[in-house]
Amino acid sequence: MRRERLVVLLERCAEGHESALEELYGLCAGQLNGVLVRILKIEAIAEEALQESFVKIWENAGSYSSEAGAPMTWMSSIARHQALDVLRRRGSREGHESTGLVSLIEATPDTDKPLHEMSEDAQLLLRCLERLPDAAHDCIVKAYCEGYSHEELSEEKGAPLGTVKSWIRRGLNSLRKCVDELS
Amino acid sequence: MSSPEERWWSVRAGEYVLGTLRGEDLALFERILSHDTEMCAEVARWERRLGPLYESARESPPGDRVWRRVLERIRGSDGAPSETELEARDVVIGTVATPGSEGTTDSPRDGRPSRLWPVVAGLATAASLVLGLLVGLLLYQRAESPGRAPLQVDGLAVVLSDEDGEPYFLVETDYGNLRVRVTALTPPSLEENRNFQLWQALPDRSAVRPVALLPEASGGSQVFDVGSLIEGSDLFGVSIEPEGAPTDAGPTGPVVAHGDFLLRADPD
Repeated sequence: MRRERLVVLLERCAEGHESALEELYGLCAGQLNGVLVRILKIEAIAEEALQESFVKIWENAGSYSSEAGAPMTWMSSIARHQALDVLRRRGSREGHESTGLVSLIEATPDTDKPLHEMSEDAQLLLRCLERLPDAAHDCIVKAYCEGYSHEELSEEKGAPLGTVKSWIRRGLNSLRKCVDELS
Repeated sequence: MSSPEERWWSVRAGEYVLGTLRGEDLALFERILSHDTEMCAEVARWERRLGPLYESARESPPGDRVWRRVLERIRGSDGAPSETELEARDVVIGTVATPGSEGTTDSPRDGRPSRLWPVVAGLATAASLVLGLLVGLLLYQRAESPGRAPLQVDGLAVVLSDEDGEPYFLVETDYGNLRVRVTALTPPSLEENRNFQLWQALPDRSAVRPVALLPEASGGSQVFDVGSLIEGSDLFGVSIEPEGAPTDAGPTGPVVAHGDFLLRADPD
């Protein structure tokens, strides 16, 4: 039901209805901000990225189609890329955390959400992730959910850069096969 | 999705969605995306595969000011881009890809030119590489050593992969300047005092001959003359060899990658 509503709202955004964007914002801003905070770690920067994300959603709503996945998947993708752009520009997470100008938030992602509360797509993805070796699983989740770079993962894992890249690439290859087979 | 090249590009698209492509790799991939609809479709598939991970994020309600600023932006009353927007427009900087893990295909030394590897029958032909390689040419048009003209890729190219299709090296030709370049994509990690050795099969596939040592770091490339290769031979392989090991009797270490490569008999 919510998914259908979001599709309608995106269609109305494409037609220029501000009220649709406002409702969309009310329904999705908290979740999308959560995605951004998890990557950017700093609320003020996450909110800045959220603002940009909603402008892009407004400007690109007409290009949304079901082929892009669920509306929230599409919108979270826009938000993630916005966050990654910020991270890349700033060079490293540590660089802006050290400014001390804004409050830091808890960096640990919420991984305790019960499986039954997630969508079927998310449950399938998590099942496939669980089939990966721990190192690949961990690197892929940290890269996707928290914007970790290869270097950051290498440092955190205490593993050579090439090894981390190999974990990720092999993991992605296995993940693709698993998700495509099960979906 | 069956060929090593397709799998390699799919994983590349996955890395793009994951956010781990940085620097030159990212810029080039985005350039490819701007005109390659199939690559765009692969990226969209990865967005759908990984997208549901957003659900694991804890909700974090934003402050009221965010919505006000969104409204200002879409109404055009504040045309000035934010700091974040300005940052996003800047050129990204970052890292270059590096290699992976060890292959396992053994090729024991028997004191004579080695027989070809048994995996030959399963190799893809060079003709099947078109899309991946065209894009590969873009991605790996890296600077050559100082004083040499950039390689002008004008011939066929091939990815040398392991048996799982993991792409280790890209071979490209520049017939105009009679050169061949081999670029390391994701080769396995090497132990100390070990090298990657490129071999070429004889035209009748009865034996192999050494061609060149290859770079071990991802992104590194080795250029050598076309004359180093045998015309009419289309099978290449890479083995891991001890430093200084003799090459006259074929590989002594495991063969970790192989691929077909159609060398033009007449460059013109």
